[in-house]
Amino acid sequence: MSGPTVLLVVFDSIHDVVRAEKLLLARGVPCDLVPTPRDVSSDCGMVVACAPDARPTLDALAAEGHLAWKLLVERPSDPR
Amino acid sequence: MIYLDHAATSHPKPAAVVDAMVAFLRDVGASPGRSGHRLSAQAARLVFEARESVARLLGVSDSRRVVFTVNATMALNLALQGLLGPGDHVVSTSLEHNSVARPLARLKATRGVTETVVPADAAGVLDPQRVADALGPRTRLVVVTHASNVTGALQPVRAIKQAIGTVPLLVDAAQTAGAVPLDLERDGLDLVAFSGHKSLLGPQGVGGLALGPGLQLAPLVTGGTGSRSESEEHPTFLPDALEAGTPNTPGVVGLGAGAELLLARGVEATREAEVRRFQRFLDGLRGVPGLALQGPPDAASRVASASITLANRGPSEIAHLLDRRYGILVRAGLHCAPRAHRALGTFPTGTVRLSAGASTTDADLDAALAALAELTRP
Repeated sequence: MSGPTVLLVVFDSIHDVVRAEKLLLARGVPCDLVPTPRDVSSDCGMVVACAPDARPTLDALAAEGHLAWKLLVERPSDPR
Repeated sequence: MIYLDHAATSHPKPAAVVDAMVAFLRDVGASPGRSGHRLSAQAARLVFEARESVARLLGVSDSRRVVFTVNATMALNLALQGLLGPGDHVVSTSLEHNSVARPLARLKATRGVTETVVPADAAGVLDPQRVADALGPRTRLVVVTHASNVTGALQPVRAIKQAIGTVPLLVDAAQTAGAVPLDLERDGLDLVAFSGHKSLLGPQGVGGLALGPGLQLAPLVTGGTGSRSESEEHPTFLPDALEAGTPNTPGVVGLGAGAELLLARGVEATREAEVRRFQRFLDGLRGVPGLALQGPPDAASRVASASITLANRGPSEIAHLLDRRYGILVRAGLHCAPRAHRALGTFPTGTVRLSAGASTTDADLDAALAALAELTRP
């Protein structure tokens, strides 16, 4: 994958999305909530978007039992 | 004006609650998490924080297990209708509000549910062993109010849970959530239904149900959740499984602000102050000639609510005179709990209920005592 990329983290519910955002921000990892891209999931809600270097923090949060995402994809930050 | 009807709904709401709701309506206003834009995200964050605050207050370690409803009645219906199936047996009590008695009457008629009603003692308090003795091989649920909305008498819900073992216990905490320390997980409770607009200090139109770990309920309402949109099957994960449609977001935000306020003040500290204030009031009531007080004599055994009758006047007349002559607002009648009044011997005329809350002062209660003393004079 060439060019800048973004991690999109998909959760079951908006509750879990907001929770993930809060946990990431608490560990100093910048992230944003964005509409779920149709090619990533058919959910009509939101996903957490963060830089690829957030991956170790995401993995740590998952290993500690704080997060359980449904899907995690890395893709170009501008998919056009 | 002196407002002593907090058992019906708390009034006035704290400024922090009003301000949070106004700020939401003015500055956010969007549907939480549905639309993907910044205001929708902000609304979702506010609902999340409210859920976290209520969960902390009720001793629920995972806030997904707190679901919001429009009131405690809907939460009780959700629990009763979500758990009880054809042929199941339920144990309830003589203290229950119509928000429990009526759904159970319907379930008896429609699903063949059977019910055993356990009576309270003369002071209006349940014996945990009597509740346990009512269990049968098909008992699916025990439902108990945490405090009678008529007498205010607190019920030994922890001891009842210990006595009934693995049978799920549904606690109606409409009168106690926010007023009396309650910890779902530490106390081993399975389901706690709460009202958002009483001692939790939120607005009317919001309440909820807290669930113990691993408890599964069939939903009362299905529909849009903002999740799993590709499927016509309702989600099974919480909180979405038990919440459908756009929530009462301003109400949830107000409830969250009320819960935050209580967390900051401390429910235990608030309760201690309330017990001291209300004991003085109960002692004063006992000095009013011709006045009969229902329920336990000590404030520590009840929420800040007193149900009374006077020998010389009926409940409706007393309530009307308190309002018009003295500006004291109370509630007369059966309080939607005919069962409890039958058990107390106060059916069908009922009682006058004077209930204090966060805004009540010693002077308010002293004024009520003076007014009642005047009303008993021939």
